[in-house]
Amino acid sequence: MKKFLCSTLLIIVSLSLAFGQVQISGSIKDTKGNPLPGVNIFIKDSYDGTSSDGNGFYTFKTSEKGEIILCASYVGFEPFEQKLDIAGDRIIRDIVLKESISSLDVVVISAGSFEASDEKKAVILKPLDIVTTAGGDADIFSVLNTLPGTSTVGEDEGLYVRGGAKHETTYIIDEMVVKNPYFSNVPDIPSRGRFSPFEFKGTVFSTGGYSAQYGQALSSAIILKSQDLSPQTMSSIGILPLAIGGSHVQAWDNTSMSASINYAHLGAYFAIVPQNREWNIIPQTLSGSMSFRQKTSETGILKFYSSLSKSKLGLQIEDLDNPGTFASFGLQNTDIYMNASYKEGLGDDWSLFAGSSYSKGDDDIDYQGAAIQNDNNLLQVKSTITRFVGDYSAIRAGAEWHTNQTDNSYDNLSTTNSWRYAAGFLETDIFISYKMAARLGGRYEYADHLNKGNIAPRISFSYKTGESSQVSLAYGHFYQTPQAEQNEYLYPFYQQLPNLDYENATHYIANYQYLGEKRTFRIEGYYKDYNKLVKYTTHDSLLVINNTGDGYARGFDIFWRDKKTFKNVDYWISYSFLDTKRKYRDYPTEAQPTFAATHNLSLVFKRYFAKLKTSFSATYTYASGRPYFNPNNPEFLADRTQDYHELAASASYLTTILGNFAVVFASVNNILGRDHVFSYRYSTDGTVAKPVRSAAPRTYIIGLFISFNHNKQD
Amino acid sequence: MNKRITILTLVVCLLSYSLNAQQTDKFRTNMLPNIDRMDTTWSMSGFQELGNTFERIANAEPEQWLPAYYASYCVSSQIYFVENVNQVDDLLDKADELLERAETLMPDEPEIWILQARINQSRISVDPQTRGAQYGPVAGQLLAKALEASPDNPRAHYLKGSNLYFTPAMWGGGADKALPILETAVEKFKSFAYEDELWPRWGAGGADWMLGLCKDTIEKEKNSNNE
Repeated sequence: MKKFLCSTLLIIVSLSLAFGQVQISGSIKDTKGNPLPGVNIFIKDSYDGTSSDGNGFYTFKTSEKGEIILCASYVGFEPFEQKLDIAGDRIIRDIVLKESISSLDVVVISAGSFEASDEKKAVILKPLDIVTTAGGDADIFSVLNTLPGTSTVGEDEGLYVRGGAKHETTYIIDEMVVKNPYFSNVPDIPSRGRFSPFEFKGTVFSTGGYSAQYGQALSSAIILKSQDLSPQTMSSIGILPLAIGGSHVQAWDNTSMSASINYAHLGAYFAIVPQNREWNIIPQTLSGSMSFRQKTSETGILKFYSSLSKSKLGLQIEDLDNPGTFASFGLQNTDIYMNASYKEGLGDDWSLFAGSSYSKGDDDIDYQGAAIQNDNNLLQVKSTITRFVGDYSAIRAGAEWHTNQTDNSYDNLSTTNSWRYAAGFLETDIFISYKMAARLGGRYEYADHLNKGNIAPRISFSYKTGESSQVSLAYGHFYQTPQAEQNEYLYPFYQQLPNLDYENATHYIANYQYLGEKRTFRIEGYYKDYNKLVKYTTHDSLLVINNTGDGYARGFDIFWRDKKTFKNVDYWISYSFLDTKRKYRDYPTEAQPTFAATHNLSLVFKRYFAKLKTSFSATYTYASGRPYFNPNNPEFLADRTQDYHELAASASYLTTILGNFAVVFASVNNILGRDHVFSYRYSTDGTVAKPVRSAAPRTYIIGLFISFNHNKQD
Repeated sequence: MNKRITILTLVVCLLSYSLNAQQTDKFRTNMLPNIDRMDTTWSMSGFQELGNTFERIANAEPEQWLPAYYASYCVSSQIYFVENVNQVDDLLDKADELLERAETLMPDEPEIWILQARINQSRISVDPQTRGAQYGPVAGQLLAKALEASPDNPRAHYLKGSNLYFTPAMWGGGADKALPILETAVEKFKSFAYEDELWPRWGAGGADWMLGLCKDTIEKEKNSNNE
């Protein structure tokens, strides 16, 4: 019995000895040797562990035995694991944790582009910045004029980027081309963009060196991304003296649909605010749009957008050859745009995109007695496949196909031009380390009316020089099929000439940028070499069109934004210096084109007054005088207009009307009351000159927007 | 011989019973004091320690939802003490991860929706102008869902009231709108029937403080209007 009791006791004692504890301690530091407090250090899948103290030391007891895994985890650092053999009664283990790279630390491929979006990574502008900028009239494209790289051309809509004409910019929505992004053009009067800034979640404004995914633009690309699924059902109305509109969005769990309608008629507005033009048909536009969003999976979304608009206007233009007599310019326009896109993630590593767009614009013009019809149609399909490599690198390949058709008639002459364009591209984003990235791409294009192809290499490289700063370089070739410029009503009749080639531009760009939490600085220098620009010459009374034109554009842009120095104040300054000359179209010699200003400066200032619930913005724009054609001057385009100074201000007052969120918006342009002269028109003999002024000496807008939220919780 | 076998069996049974009891006891004895400590913690190091402890318990007890839930709560509370606003998103990402673990183990639980709402509301602080419209409605819908399933839950009322207090008046918020909801919250904290002493009971102190702040603000506004 004694023996039995002894052996039982022995068993119990040895069992309890097995439950003895071992102490594990050590220091925990980062790779730079700094101690880390509050780190979670533990044995995998066990209760045993502790947090490191304020000096970066840890110690804890464990009753585990044998081989275990010692772990350490800390937000912002890579998790740590190490095999450990529990033996003896004390173990010292010092741990070093490696910082993990967040997307905010990674270098951004940025040469030549400004991004405005809501993404987590550092961006320069937010979408709300676009809406609240004075002088922009909430028109995305107008507001981009306050960014560096653009020339202010007051008599015309469009973006004139780094010495490029306005057709040298391409507009992209959800990867698909928009052929007619602006309302129809009237001579010497800028028109608005067709889209509301609220429709977009992100904008990339590329002033040069844009990706191989896009083509057909010698100078720049505006890349817009539309909003995804709407999170809630709501309606809104907008009332201005010159327009009224309403929209409704219906949201379900994975689907949202929206419809909007707008009617603009400037009659009442013109009666109150003096204008510089003689209108005989008051401008009026009726437009509507519809969109559909469907979330197809965790990673997929299907989007569809379509819009239709009809507008008409008529004004009197003085015939300078017979001063005192007027010729009427009448325009009726119908515009249709449809855009469908589908994006889906295939597994963790792949993403597929497919899209299609249709643009149709019909202009019915009656000018100086001639009946002019310009109809353009573009059907596009595009598909891209992306392979993600690692956390940030990617390879993209894609192809697109366009079918273009234009029907033009000028009195009794009529012609139809139709042509097809195909392009394929391959591009890779290589993140060599989180500090260094390169984008290498190539694009091949073929247009069957030119019967020629081209290969365009595009390379850019970015390197992080500091925690918040980086330098970038970019080089690329850009091609564009020749097309009609503004008011070149006879160009389509010459378009079929067989010996035409692509116009091209080679870009060289270098930039340095600093992106702090509240301050941004950016300086970028560029050189663009233009070749094979379309040139008209007359040989023995015959008009010859060929690609013997060329030119260059060089300069630098500076951008500074500061949200910190002055309380509640956000301001940015952008300055561009441009030196450009070209010999193209009907230019007899190389000259600075009429749309290029040597100096451009924008100062945008915003302040929110919390007590008044009002957001106030002011924009000052300066541009040096631009060249204009004076037939009396033997030197071509040697005359310059006076310098341009413009001060605009706007205010938005946030309030509620019957419990619904409302904004009262007011803006004034040309506060200084300057007589802006953008150019001069001459009679054929050069004796009569008429200044081209802005459409109105001063513009006032006041508007009310109300948003009705249908999710009334209380 | 039979006696020896009986005694041995008894000893083995006793030992194994105490081992088992130790295991379930271990969960409770580790959770309870830490849950109590949460009520009086208000510092970065405090929430880091508690968050780490709950995370360890969650790893050791993969079938339990409560440790992952509390770890998420502690990590998301650290955002009030960060030096750099860029750290907020990283911490909330970790809080999201931990809460997802809890949700897989305990789907359709209003306490989880309430904590999700809290995390969404916290995301707004990084950039209120742009993020308010994005995360505000998501948080609102989560709280509405929780209140429908559990209308007496004090934390849902507390977060709803606190959210309203900080929402500008023009958007339908303000101290006067928040007052009745915060008063309800404080009441519910006193009367709410808890499933178990381990279940979430945070927020009573916060609700009291919020109610005080709300009443003070209304006083001040009344006085400034009377001037």
